[in-house]
Amino acid sequence: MTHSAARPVLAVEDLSVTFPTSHGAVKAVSGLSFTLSAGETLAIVGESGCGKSTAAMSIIGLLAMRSRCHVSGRVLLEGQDLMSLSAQAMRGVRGGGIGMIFQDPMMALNPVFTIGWQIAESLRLHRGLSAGAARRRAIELLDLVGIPSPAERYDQYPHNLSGGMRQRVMIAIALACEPKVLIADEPTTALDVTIQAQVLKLIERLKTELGMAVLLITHDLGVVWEVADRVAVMYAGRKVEEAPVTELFQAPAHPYSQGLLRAARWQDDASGRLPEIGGAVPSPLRMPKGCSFAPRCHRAMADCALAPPGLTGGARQVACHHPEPVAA
Amino acid sequence: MTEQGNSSGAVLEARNLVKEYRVGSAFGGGRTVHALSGVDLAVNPGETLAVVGESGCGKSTLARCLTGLRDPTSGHVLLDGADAGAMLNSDAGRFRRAVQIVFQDPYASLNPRRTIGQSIGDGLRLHRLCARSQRRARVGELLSRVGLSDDYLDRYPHELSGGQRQRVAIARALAVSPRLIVCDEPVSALDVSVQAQIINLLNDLQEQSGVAYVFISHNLALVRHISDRIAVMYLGQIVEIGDAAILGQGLVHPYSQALFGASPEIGRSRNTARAKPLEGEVPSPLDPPSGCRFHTRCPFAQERCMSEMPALRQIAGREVRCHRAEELAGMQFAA
Repeated sequence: MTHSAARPVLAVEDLSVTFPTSHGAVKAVSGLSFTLSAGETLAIVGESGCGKSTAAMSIIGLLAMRSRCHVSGRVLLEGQDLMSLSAQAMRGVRGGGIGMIFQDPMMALNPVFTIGWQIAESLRLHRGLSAGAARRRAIELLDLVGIPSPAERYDQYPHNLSGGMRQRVMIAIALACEPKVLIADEPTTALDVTIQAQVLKLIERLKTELGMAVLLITHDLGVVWEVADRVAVMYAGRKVEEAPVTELFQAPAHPYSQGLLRAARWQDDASGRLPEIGGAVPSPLRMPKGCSFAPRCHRAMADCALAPPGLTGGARQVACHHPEPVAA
Repeated sequence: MTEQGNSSGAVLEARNLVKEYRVGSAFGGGRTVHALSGVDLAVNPGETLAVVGESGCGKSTLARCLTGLRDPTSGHVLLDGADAGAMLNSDAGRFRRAVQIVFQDPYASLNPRRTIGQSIGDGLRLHRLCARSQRRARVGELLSRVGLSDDYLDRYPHELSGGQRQRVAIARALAVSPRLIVCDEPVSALDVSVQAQIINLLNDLQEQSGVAYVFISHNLALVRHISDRIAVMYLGQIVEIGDAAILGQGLVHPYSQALFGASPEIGRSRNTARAKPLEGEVPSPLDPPSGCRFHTRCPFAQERCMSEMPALRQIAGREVRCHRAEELAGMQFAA
C-alpha cells in the first residue's frame, strides 16, 4: 500500500487548452499541473464547465483530434511526453498505457457489436492476442468485474445489459491491457446509489490488486471522500486547491472549496438555511481580470480584482490572495 | 386503510394508486410494466413529503399521476377529498390551479421560442387570473419572488443559466398560487453550488405561502434536509414511510437501510466496515418478484417472504412493509 512515495506514473505540467469560438478564444484549462503515483487515487472535482473533463480528454489526446483547439503543456506517462507522440503511437497509449471510463456507458459502447467482441478487440489490437485467446481473456475480465455467467454475456449486445452492467463492461475494456493509469470521468454519475456503491468498490479493489493509478473526475464530493487519496479542486479552468483528502475536507483553504463542501453536506446553519455560494460561474468569454472566483467570494478584497493568485507549493497547494486560515 | 389515508385535512391524497403500462409487441401479446402497485399517501397543507428510490421504482410515474398528467390504471387521486379524475374531466382548471409541477431538466421544460415573460404569463392568461394590462407587472412580481429581476421578462431560455431557468420554472408553477407543487428532481441537473440556492428558495416560498411540496429525489442527504416526512419506494410500492425526524433515528426496512447506507457520506469513517452494498440489481418492473418484491436482494429474506406480500404496518413510529419489521426494529434500536 506504500506506492505513494514512488516516482509519479503520470505527470501533467502546465496544461492549457484553448478553444477558438466565434466570440473569441475560450481558455477551458489554464496552467494545470499535477502528478499521480501508482496505487493512488487523485480526484479532480469542480462544477460543470470548470475544465475537468477537457483536461482528462487532452491527457489522452482525444481533444486535438476532433476540434481546432490548441493544447499546450506536457503530459508525461512514465517519463515519456505524450504530446510529442505521433497519432499512431498515441493510439497505442490509449487503451494500452492509459485506460478510460466515461460517464455514459451507453454512448461509449458500440451498439452493433457484442460486448465480448469490444473487450477482445482491445486485446487483439494492443496485445496481438489470437481470436481464441482474446475471447478467453475477455471472459476472465467479465468475471473480474463481477458480471454473472460471463461466458453467456460475452455474446450479448450493450442493449441487453443494465446501466450498472454496461459500466462494468466499460471497466473491463479499460482494464483489458492492464493500464498504468485509469482515467474515470464521472464513472458513477449515471448510476443509482446502490449500483454506484458496487462500481466504486470494484474500482477500489482493482486498483489495489493491479496497482493502478486512478484519476477520478467527478462533481460528487461524497464519492471523493469515499475513494480518493488526494483532491484537486478546479474552478473556471484553474486548479484552485490541492490537498490530501482528509485535510481538504477538514480544513479547506480556498473559499470556493469551502463553499462547495458546505453545499455538499446539506447542513443548515443556525437560521435553518443552507449556506449558498451566491452568483454563478463567470462566462469563459468574460473572465474577470483578477481571481476568477472574486465576484462570488465572501473574502474578496480590492487586490483580488487586480491579478489572478498563483498556486502555493508543496503537498497542500492553494491559489488565493486571502485563503482561509488553516491550522498547521 | 392507513393512518395517512384519513382524508381529514390532506391537500392531496393517493389511494391504492396503480399504474400499469402495456408494452406493445409487434407480434401481439405484449407485456405489462407494473410502475405503481398500490400506493397510498397523503400530503398535508404546508408540508414537504419526500419520495426517494432508485430509477425504475415508480417515483416519476407517481409524480405524473399526482399531477394529473397520467391517468392511474386504478385507484384514486383526491384533491381536498374530491376525486381528481372526475375533476379533470369537468373542471380541469380547478385541479391545475391547485397542483403544479416543476420538472428535473430546466433546459427541456421551458419552450425555447417563448420569452420568460410569456412562459410565466401563460398560467395567468389561461386561468384568467389577472387582466391583460396587469399581466406584465404580475409576472415581474413573480420573478422577484424567485430572485430574478424583471430584466428577464423579455429574454429567452437560452440566455439563462440552469439555475436561473429552474427559478423561472418555479415562478411559472407559482403563477396560479397552487396549494401543492410536485418537484420532480428539481436540483439534480444543477451544479452543487447552485442547488443550495434553489433549495433555500423553495423553503422561503413555503414559509411565505404555505405551499406543500411532494419532493421526488434520489439525493438522500438533501432529502434529510428538506423534508417533514419521507417515503421510500421500491418497485412501485412504498416500503417505509414516516416523519423525517423519526426515520432519521434509524431505518427499519432492509431496503431503506441499504439505500441510505450506500449513499456516499462526507465525514463517515472511510476505512471502517461499511454496510455491504446490496448485491444484484433492481428486478424488472415487467416481472416483479412474487411475495415481497425485495426478497431477491434482501439479506433477511425467509421462506415466507417469497410467497406472501407484506402489508404496510405501523412499527416504531413509522409504517414498514416487511414481514420481519419487528425483529429488524429491535436490532436497529437495541444498540
